[in-house]
Amino acid sequence: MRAYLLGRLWQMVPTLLGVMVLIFVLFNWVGGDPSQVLAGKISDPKQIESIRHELGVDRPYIEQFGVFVRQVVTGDFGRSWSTKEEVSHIIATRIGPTLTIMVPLLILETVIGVVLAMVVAYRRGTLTDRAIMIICTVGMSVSFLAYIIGGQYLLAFLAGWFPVQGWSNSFTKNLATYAPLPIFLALLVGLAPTVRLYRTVFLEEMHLDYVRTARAKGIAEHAVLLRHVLPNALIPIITNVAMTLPTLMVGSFLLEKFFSIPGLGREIINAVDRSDFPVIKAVTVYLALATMIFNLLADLLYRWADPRVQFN
Amino acid sequence: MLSAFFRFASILIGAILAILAVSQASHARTLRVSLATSEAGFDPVAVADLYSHTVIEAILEPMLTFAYAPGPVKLIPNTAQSLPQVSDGGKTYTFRIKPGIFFTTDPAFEGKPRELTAGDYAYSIKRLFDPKIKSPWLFLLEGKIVGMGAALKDGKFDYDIPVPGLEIPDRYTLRLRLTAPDYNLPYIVAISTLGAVAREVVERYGDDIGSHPVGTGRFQFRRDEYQHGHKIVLEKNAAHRSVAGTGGEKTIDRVEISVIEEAQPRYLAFLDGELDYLELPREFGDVATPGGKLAPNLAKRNIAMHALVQTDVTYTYFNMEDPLVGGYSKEKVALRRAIAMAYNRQHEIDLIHKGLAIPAHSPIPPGVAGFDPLLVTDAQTYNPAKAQALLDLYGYRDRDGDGFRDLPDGHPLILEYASPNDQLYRQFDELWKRCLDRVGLRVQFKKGTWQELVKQRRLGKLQMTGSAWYADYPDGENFLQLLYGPNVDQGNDSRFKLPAFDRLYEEARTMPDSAARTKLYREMAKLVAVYAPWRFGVHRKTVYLVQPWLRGFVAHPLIHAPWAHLELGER
Repeated sequence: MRAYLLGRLWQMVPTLLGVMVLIFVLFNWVGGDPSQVLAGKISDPKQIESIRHELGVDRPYIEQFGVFVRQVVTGDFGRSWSTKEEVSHIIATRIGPTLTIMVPLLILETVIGVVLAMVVAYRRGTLTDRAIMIICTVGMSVSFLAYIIGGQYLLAFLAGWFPVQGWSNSFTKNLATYAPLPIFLALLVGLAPTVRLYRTVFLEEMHLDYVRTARAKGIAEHAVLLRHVLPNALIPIITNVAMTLPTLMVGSFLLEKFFSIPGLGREIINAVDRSDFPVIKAVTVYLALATMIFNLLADLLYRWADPRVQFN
Repeated sequence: MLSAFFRFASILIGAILAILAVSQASHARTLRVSLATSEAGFDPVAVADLYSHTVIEAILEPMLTFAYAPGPVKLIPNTAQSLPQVSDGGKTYTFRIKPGIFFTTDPAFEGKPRELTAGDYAYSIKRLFDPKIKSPWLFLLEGKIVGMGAALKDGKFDYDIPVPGLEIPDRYTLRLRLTAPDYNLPYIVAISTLGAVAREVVERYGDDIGSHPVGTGRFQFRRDEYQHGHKIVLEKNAAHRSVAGTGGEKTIDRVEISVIEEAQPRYLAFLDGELDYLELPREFGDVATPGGKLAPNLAKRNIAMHALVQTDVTYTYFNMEDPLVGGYSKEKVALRRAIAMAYNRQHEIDLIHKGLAIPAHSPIPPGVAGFDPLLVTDAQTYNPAKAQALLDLYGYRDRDGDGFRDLPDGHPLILEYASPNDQLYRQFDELWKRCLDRVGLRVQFKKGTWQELVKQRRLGKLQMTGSAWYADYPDGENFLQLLYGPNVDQGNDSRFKLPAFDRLYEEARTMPDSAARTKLYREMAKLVAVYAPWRFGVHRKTVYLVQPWLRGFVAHPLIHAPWAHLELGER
């Protein structure tokens, strides 16, 4: 176990290096030159050169990459090129609102998804199954943007059940007042593929011999589902949740933009728009690290869910 | 014991009620407004975006300002006692600062009141030239102040070296000496970029100065409530003097500025009463102001509409150094004029601007000194038949039968229009394609990120692209400089170099606003229309929707933070 963990942690180094090379190449290839915009409406080539020098984008690529490596090692990504705000402060202050939306969303999506999937799997072929599957298919066919625009107009503005937009300094007020509509809309969109995926997983399990045996032994159906099928279906569920976990960090920029939530998703889009490389670098590196850590966590959970899993 | 308890309880209840009453009263005097884009920061010389400067305008004060009143823009003294004394044929300006104006409190002042002096303005002007700041506003005064170069040593700016062009004869007098006459200097001095900052504050906060704006203005910044890119709170500067002629009722105690980036929530928040006024998002032009009039549902709610033609111009420029569309020969001029005449500008106004724009006939917009309302040239008026005739006349015919015109020498004629990857610009692309197809001109689109296109534009690598210019100061010179030959690489992106235009520009530059100067501007505008380095676009309109409880609102082209002039009634 210890050797496995050390091995996995060691593997993260080349993976992270690969991510860094990729982001560095992509930024320098398609990222645009921020000095042109930072120079303002009128500027002479000398001033633009001076800005490029200040940002360090006139240095040899290898030197720029060296700076990137140093930033990753020290965790100090400096200041935003466009707002001069410290990158660490940007991330620290924007992650909270993003998590306020994304954590409840992930919990609700997983719990409701599993329950609904079990129901439709159990009632396979019935009207309930067909109705839920049709709703899911229709739900998946509509763009998220349409949900947001429609939901904001109908549920917030016309019905007045939620505020149209906003965010406060109070966590409880945000969770109780401003977060419910964005969470609800994201749930509408996210639930459909989740239910379909978990339904398939449950159906596969429900046709296996151990379920037939359990039923032959006269165990009640709910017990078959909860005590036998669910534990055996956990591995794909863990995989799906682990894949979703890193996105908690970046959130949904559409939700954040439309509901004026000062989260990290909106900040990333603004950083990309402004070619604000320090912010892009920091978020990408943290996201890569989070993905690797959550993947490792998922692997450890596989062992908990299924003791037959061996760490080799 | 019991009576003591009741006494305590009644005091407690009374206190709670009083707090509630005070909080409700203060809530009633809180103005709520929105910004459509996140602010970059509040260092006046370091940031260039309109939204940051809107906030800066409420906190920092320039020596002069503009009267907050409808009609032509009028310059008035702000912290200066009067308009500057002009001498030496427009080369020397003397400003006298009102004594007794104080900065709002800040730890940088170590608990002492800090009076505004002429030295603060000299320092604020010097900051424009500091290479460390790399001010995007340097162009406003670059090369204009006598001896400014002396303060620059080894790429560093020494603020302690006296600059002959920034003379401070006494505590309240600032004398600006210019290298050449410039009658626009008072306008430049009036923009928020040159609002006074205190050296102690700048030095105390260093790189963080962008989130510590400290000024003498009507409002002070609430650092404790600031959430970058989300919420900015300003509180009334209770110590602010009343300035005659600029209003001074100061009924607004607090301004809460929310950054709402998307158009729909901004519009719905206004309809919900969460915002006191709104710059109408263009996307909602059809809904809120159909046919240019306020929609009946809004009129029924006593919402007021204020429309304003912005001091801006949009245009499509042709790169005059491009081998295909550039040059000054008759056939090249004919090609550019034909392209300009093929473009249906009214469709752009109706479909893209939702009616919120007027056609431009000159680089100079209305509301700017030198604008000539009588100047209407038909050199670029939409006329596809005339465009086709012009192309036929100069030999741009379809020689290979592919349905598109070729160059007079038989080579293919393929135009390349550059535009960013954006929904708005896709609409422009479609309109251009439709219009040019109609006259048999083939066009391809070069797409790229905004930054990349800006870079290529400055390097002269784009053939033609759309652009826009907002007035930095309300004088036609600010627009015509974009076509002045020596400004290639510094704003003249079309790389237009016409000696006749340059001569007129140089002559006009030394003149104050007058009929004679407007005549020169008119001649220059005609040269632009005829040689067509630009296809004139539109002057965009801004529509403000104002809630019935807000009084005193005036749509002003240069005042973006009129908050101290507004009064809030019962919501």
